[in-house]
Amino acid sequence: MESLDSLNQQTQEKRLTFSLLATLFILFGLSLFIGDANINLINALSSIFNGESTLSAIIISDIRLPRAVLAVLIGASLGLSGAALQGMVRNPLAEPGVIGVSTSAALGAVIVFYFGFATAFPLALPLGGITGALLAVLFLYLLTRSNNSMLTLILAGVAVSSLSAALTALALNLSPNPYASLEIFFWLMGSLADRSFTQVWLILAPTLMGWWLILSTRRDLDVLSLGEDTAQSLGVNLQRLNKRIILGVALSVGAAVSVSGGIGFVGLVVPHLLRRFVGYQPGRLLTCSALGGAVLLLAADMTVRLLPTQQELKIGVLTALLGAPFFLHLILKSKREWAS
Amino acid sequence: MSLIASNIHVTLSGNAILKDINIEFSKGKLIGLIGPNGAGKSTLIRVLAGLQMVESGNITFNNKQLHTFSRSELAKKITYLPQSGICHWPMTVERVVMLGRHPHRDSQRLNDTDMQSVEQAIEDADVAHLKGRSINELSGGEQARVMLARALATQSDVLLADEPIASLDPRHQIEVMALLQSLASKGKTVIVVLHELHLAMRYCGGLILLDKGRKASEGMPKDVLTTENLQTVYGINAIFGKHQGSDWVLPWGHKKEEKA
Repeated sequence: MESLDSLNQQTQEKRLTFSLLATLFILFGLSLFIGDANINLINALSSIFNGESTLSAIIISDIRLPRAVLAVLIGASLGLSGAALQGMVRNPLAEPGVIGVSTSAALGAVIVFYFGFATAFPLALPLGGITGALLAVLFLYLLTRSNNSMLTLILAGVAVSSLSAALTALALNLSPNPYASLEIFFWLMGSLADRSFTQVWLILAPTLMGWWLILSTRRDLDVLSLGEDTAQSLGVNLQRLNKRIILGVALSVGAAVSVSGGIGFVGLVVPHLLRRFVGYQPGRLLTCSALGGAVLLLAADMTVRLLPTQQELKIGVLTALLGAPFFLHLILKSKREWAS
Repeated sequence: MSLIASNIHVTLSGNAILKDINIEFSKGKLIGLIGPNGAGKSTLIRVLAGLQMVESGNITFNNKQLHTFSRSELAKKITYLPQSGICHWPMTVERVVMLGRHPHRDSQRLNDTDMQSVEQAIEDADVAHLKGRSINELSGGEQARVMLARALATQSDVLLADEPIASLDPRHQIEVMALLQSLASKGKTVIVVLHELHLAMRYCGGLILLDKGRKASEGMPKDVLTTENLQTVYGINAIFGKHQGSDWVLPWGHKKEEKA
């Protein structure tokens, strides 16, 4: 006996989920067509099924497919984490990139690169990213606990970002090998080019674990809209909720950044665009944001491949170019709340 | 239902907020918690809701220590309505009230009982006409009524409300007090922080007067709201009377003024 309003909202949410899923499938298929090499997809697919290793088959299965899979995994992690962080601190500006979680994850990965752990032990890379992300989320959480104003969050994010960026620069500065630092520098810009299934397998477990942790807070996150005291009185175990989101974000974003470098603003833009379709409920926003993030990153990755630039544009550069003005717009829109 | 607080002491950043509080709440009563600003009323409500740690003392609910209940168990039995409840996202009124069913939910969808409770609560708090509106567009008083509806929707045994009528217009103040009184007569225990002494006198089945963290007086409204208590605790004088068989009180001038 749900009322009309809530029924409408449910159909709206279902429709949204369905159209996001459909878009994701279509983009995924299309992305296999896009790239430098001109490939007949039908031939390539038939040779993949027949087990022949023709050039076109290799390009599809070893280059384009892992790239598309990574775009989906990483985009979903970023969209989901943005929505979860915003729900946790009850602030629409919380986003892994904006509040410095991505930068810290990148620092973790750079340290692993720098000391050469990554070659000795491949899992060190996602572990480094996860550790960096975890430290940043924990710090921000502790800081915003007593004061969850926009200003505190953004300034704390600036501080975390600056410190991580400075330490990353220090590592590059001290690096004995200039080529290695150039490589790290490019990697920091964020890209999905030249990745393989190795990276997919590397981040799959922490990513899925992070998603599961975050999604398990779905209903409690809705109740947290009423503030911590009321949420607790309604039966929410606040400590468990916060732990799950902090760990979930650290796992999924840390893993994502460690293979893609810094890709910002996905977690800011996607939840903001989708929030109205789920009645502004932070818990209901989670799944849609994950799907939306995957769609956005896949589309962005296809765009950088299609743009007629001499050198492929880094996807992190594209998302930052589009996301930063959006961020500014959000700040101006919520200017009134800055006083609080 | 039994809710008993014994020897409660609470200290917040070095200041003693509650000192040796002993109270026994019984089923089916509307109890008003009154006292000047800073007397410890909100802290006491939070203690009873299990949201505030006590320095020493004991709270038992249904003969079991309050802190031994899990959050989800407690949420079904005791509802807490904070002083100025806010919703951080611009959700619709109906959605906010539905959150009150959280303690009872075990699936994603709300079932028929849930929806009936939500409808009833929306009706009782007189917010049916605001149902589809976004909560951040409403006035302070309207928001307070939505939050009350949210608290009513839980349909718990105990309702702890911190100044639920503070921002309401006179009509809604009277309506809410009458509603709380009728809920109490149906067996709910309602404990409510109030500054409106005239409404406390008229509607409450009992009053507890707090002064600087201590219980200054307890009993029937007309035994608590006495000239002497109002002078010593609030520093005010009041005039009293009877209308249609009920006692009334009207705060009138402060003590110094009267002396002069």
